[in-house]
Amino acid sequence: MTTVWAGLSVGAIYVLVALGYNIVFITAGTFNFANANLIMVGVFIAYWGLVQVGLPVFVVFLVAGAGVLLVAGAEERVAFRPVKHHDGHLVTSVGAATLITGVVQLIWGADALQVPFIAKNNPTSVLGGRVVPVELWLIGLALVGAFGLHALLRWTMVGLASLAASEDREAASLRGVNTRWLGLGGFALSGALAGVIGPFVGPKTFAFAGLAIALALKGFVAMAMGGFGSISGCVVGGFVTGLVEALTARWVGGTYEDLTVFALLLVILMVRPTGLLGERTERII
Amino acid sequence: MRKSLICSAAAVALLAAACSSSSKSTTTTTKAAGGGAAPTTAAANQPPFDIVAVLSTGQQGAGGEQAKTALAGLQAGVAVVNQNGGILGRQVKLEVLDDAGNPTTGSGLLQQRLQSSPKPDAIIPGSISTEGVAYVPLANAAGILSIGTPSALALTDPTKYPYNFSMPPSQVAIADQMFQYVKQNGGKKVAVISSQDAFGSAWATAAKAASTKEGIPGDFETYADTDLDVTPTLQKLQATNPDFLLMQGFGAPVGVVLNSKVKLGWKIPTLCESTCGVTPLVVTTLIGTPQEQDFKMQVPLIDIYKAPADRSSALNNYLTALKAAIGGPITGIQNQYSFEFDAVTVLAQAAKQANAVTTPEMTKAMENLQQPSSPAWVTLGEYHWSSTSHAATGSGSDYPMVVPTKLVDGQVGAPGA
Repeated sequence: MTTVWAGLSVGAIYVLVALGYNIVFITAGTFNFANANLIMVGVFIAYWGLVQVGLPVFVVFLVAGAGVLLVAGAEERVAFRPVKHHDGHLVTSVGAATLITGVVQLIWGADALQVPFIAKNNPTSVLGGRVVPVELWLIGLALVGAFGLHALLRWTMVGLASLAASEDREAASLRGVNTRWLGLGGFALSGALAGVIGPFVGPKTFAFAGLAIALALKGFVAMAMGGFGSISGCVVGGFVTGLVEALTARWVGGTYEDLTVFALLLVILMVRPTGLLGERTERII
Repeated sequence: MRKSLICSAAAVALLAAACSSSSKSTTTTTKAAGGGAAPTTAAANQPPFDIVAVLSTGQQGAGGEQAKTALAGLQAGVAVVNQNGGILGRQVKLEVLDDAGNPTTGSGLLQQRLQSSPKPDAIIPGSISTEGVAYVPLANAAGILSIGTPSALALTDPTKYPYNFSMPPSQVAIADQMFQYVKQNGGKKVAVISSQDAFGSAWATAAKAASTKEGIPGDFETYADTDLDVTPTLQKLQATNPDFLLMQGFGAPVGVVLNSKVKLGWKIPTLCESTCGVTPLVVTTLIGTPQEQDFKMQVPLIDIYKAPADRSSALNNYLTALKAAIGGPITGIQNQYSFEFDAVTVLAQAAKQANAVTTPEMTKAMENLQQPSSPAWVTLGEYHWSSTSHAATGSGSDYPMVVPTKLVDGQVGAPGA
């Protein structure tokens, strides 16, 4: 069970990264490759607030959420909005990611920093497996975050407008949906989410400038596995990725973790090109 | 119109800035630290002994920081050697080519420098092996002696690169000392976990050789530097019932491995090879935590604290010069700086022994380096190279195991640290 807990907790982080990707994909119709870097900023702000300044916990969450929201908003205005075609966003978002990492390194340096958890974090046994409390929090956050996002998209006007825009931006515009503001709102929401989860991700991963690379790749795998634009797909993709990694490391060896994950992704995409829970769409050619 | 003028001006300014920063050669002065003796008139008339170092000092991140520590060590070495009269009376001049973390850029800069006159007398081919494999072939093709910390196996083979010398001992020799420690402490079987990166793979190969040599079987596993949890891998190793856990890592992965071990509740003596000491986490926030229970790291002798009263004059000279080069207190662990310092002092000793600074004569002297009774170097007690291997060999007991503490003067084990 220890292996399962390890897989689920790492998978939960992948779910949270994939949710960030999906929020922007649904609202703005594009990929923000700097999403993992936004989470990294959230982790560093958590370190700053909890260790360097010693702020109260709720203030740390507030500052992290608001701070990363602003960074994400600025990214949308500078790296996305001026670019007409979505193809260009690949370059500009990677540029934004590089810039964010550079700034983080300038402020906090290149060394790994330990982020304390906001509560006691001693290892304990749950259902016969060893786990630390922050890992249970991460698993819970991933599920709550996914459900919250699902509810937002299905049961609110803004959410329905986002879904409409993700299917056909022109048609949505003609129906009065302000797709520009929707895009900005999506970036802001993904930024706020990235900031708020920083104090939970940091205690497991440490704060270091290479964190974004570690998160980005597997987060993207989780989204591709589950299906682009599918919230439930993110959850399934993230947890499956984490579990496959953990079980492979336990029973085959650490060397084969990535190999197994990517082999599985390949098989899934060959069988279901839209991912496990992605929806097929028809288009006129 | 006004907008386009402003844009043009900005573009020109950016271009100018880019051009100015792309010229990455800087020459540092060689003034002796602590107000050393000025060169005599005779020495002043001689051409300087040119050392060209290709380092990624302009790179952001860990690579850049490492290059800066290497540069500080070199500057300290140059200062001390010049204070002692230079190399055969020639003042040492240090020229730095900044590759900004890109060996292709560095190769271009080095080739350009090698084509200019006067040619360098010695080259420091970067501070890590990925740089060394790019620069050592160029230096050797030009017939110029190169010396430094890059220690990839191929670089220490004199049949391939007869003029290159590696300062650290071979990884096999260092790993062997770790296995000897295991044996001395009753270990019969070990579990080994290392990074999948180039250094980790090379270390694992060395550890396998040491395991065979010392007759201590081991189970070997790896992790990727992007792994966020290695608990399952440790579980696999734990199932083999080892007496010791041997690990290799640098940066956050060290913390990830130790966190996973604590989560498992696995109480096993753990030894970490020397890159652990270069990880600030290990000598700062993790001290005294459950992560560092039953934990020791392997370091060269220079990293172990010596009280001022017990320090040799060489160590005192080094520390004074290093603090002057850094311009403040020493923050990193010593071996980040000291091998580079030693490289300059070794060059001085080899030239003195050969009574020449030409590459063939210096090479012969290096391959049979006489050990002075009071050497100017500080990292290893002795440096030996041979005509069959250009990896340094020390005394065989240069890399002991120590309990991590906070650093004082870049050393562990200071009282109260």
